[in-house]
Amino acid sequence: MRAVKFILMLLFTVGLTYMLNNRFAPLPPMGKFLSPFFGFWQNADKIDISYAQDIQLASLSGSVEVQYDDRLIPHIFAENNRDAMLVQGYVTAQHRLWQMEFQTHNAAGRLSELIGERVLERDKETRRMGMVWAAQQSLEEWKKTPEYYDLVEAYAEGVNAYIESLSPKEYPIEYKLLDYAPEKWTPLKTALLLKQMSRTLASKEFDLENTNTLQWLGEETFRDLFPEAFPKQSPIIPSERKWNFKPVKVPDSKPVIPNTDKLSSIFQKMPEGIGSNNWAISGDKSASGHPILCNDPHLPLSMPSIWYEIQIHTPHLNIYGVSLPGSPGVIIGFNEHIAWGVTNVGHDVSDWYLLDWKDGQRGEYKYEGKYLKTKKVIEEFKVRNLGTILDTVYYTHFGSVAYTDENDASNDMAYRWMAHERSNELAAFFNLNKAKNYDDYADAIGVYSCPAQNFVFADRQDIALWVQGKFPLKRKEQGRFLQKADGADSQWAGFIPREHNPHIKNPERGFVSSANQHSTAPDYPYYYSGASFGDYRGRRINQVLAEKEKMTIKDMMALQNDNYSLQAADCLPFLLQYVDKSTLSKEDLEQVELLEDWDYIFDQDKIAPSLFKIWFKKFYTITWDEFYTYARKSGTALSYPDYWRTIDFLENQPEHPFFDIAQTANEKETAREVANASLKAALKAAKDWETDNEKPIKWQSYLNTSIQHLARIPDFSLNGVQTGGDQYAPNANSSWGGPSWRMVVEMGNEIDAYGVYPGGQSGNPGSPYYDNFTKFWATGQYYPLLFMKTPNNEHKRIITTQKMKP
Amino acid sequence: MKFAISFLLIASLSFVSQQFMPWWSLVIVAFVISWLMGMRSWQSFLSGFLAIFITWGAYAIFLHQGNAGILTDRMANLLPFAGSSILLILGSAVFGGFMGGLGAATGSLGRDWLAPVSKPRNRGRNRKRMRR
Repeated sequence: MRAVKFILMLLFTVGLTYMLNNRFAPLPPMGKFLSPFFGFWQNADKIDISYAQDIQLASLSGSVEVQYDDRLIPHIFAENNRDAMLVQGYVTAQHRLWQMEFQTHNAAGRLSELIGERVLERDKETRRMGMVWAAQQSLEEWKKTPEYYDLVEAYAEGVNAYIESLSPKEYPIEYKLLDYAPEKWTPLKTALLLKQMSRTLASKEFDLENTNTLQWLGEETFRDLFPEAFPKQSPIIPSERKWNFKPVKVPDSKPVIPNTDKLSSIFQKMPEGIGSNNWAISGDKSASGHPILCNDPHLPLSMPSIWYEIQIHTPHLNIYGVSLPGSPGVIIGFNEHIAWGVTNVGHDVSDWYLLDWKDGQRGEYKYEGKYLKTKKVIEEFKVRNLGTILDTVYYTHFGSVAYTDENDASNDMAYRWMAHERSNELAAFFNLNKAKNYDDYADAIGVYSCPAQNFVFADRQDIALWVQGKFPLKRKEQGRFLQKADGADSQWAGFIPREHNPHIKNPERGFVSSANQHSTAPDYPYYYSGASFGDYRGRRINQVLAEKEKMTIKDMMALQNDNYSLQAADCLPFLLQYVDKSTLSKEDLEQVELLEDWDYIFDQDKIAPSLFKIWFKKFYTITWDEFYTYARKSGTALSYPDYWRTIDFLENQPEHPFFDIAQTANEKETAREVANASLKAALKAAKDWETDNEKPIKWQSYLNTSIQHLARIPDFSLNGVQTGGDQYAPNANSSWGGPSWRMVVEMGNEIDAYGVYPGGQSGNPGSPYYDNFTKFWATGQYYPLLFMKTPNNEHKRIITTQKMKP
Repeated sequence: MKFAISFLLIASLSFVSQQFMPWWSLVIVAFVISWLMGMRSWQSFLSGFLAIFITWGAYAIFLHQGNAGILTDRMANLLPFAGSSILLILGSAVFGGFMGGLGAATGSLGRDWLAPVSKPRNRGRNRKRMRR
């Protein structure tokens, strides 16, 4: 009896202990996880920062001091660049290890190792896109400049030194939740991270959608609805700029567009509205007489924050700015001589080629009358709780065969993407970090290829902007639609010579600026198309900068936080002119009056912005109802007309046939009827929203900006951040994205710099520094940046110091 | 007296063991101590439960306070503790306590089987066994 009792109890105890030490998804191993000695409790950082003061890092060559200021920005003082990068790796990992690894697992198509089958398709897409291959190509290129490759290795050594110093109970909390351990950091991971930026910023295209739409609408209607140039645009390089070079000849034959059979979408599209602003004003335009440079890159916001702020000081270098966790150096910032910033270039640098297979085996494809062999690569996915899954990816000389249907090879397409080209972004950024003047800057970024960026520049004398990237030489409209892979004339004819890239230095108007709009006026001699050219922000910024003289740092901050939407200004008067007030209730009339009195400023506590947003969206969907109906019926992926084109029709062609609603066979609607019908629907939707949410539909509530945790852990996300702004206003907030870093730098004798980003320096949701900047950011405030010349423990903003020794 | 000693030993030794061994070392400590103390199983359970309940609870409160409750607030929402830090602290402590109690109870039952201590108050039971 006693034996039985004991054995039963023993089995129960041991069994329960075992179960609680293991993970039953979605729950973490509860025993481990709840233990104050081991689990999440250990991630409850002390409010008063207490870092290990003296750290031994064997691969350092000298001693390094890291001073943290009151916002937890590390200021690294090292004796040489290698030591500085090593310590950058160490301190970044100290704050952001989990994020660094998770992001690069995502870039490598390895998320299913951590999360399981749910994300396997996404991983397959990542591999088929050739992300790992592209990163390996980069790595080979980096090795050709050993002096820089050495710095990437030093960074990796720093990250690994930190990882090795950790015991499991010190792992970031996400490792404990998902129950895994960090792996070694490698230079390949840095390359993967940079490729992920290309994926976010330079993979947007509508080749398939455009082709389907063209085939459905016919050429004439397609060209009417989808013109390439926007008449109101204010390009990045102003039209005064003359192109005094002899352009490389490109064949002028028309690309052949293959017939498709109503294909559905290729890759997941990045949401619309990723964009950024940057500008610099000359000393003549500024109140102080010194140039001022500004930058606010807009990205899908996430927690831990995208950026990690840092200062790096060596005898050869003194830089301050934001870095990407996982990549050495500074991406956007300034040194003692220059300041720089980036926005994305919208040129389409990814094209699709329909393959003509010899047979269904995918072994050979037709090219120039011959059959070429594909290369087969077997991709392995170690899916959690499922085991290893294999997927074959075929490579052609265009690129990977990324669009496939397992059962039907007839629609297979090869993917040609600029990010697959060898490039040395790293050398570009390292050289930019130590540039002293315009020539250094222009040289440094010359090797930068993808994702193409508008690099804005200012030093104490000059301002400049280069549209920098490697751009394919394209025939007119090449790459706007699908192409056939069977001939040499559909290949990119080469690349635009770098010195022909659009650029401008010290223009007469006294400023340079970019906000993702067209790079040039139509007289630029090379063809380029884009899938995401914004226009409203660029027009607004150029207007403000042109009008104002003697601007101050405050004016610059105001422009970065400007909520005025030119889209609303372009559109609303033409919608309102049609409103038939006689059919509206008193309540609805009041709402219309709000819109009539509105100044097109998307301030957070106004109701009008929400009403306009809903109204315009309804107006758009009723106008283009034919598109939605056709797409639903045929299962085809389509392109949809731009907002500006829709507004253009509303203003100038109110009787355009597309305003006719297809379902009402006997009546013929015009913009007037569509405006009234959409208004009624919008006012009802707004009322419903207010009933459901039990509060007035103020813009901040309707916008509901949320900053999601990378692994979508709800309580590590910041939901309902109260803010104003709009995608088409300079302060480009949306529900999921916005200005990920705002920076203003005045190039006086002493540099005067300000910045802010949403989130905080620490990636630990248990740290007071996880989201401490968010409120400041949401309310448009800035922190003065502490740019140190020498280490100074006594400085009132320095809160703690780490000393690292070999 | 035995109870107090058992409680103190489990609390202090498990505190040490959990510094450098996995969390479940507390189960082993409770098991061993209870085996050595040879109390009745429900008494052992109680001493193991209380020892771990107190150490886990006190340590959790210590960490919670040093962190001004930032993490506890998030975790109390993420885990089903209705957003209450106090419930989360209590929940962790009860959970640890339960495991400590189980370990202790198992230890005393093992001792009871293999090397029973003659206990005056247990005579009736012992006699019964002898008769058998």
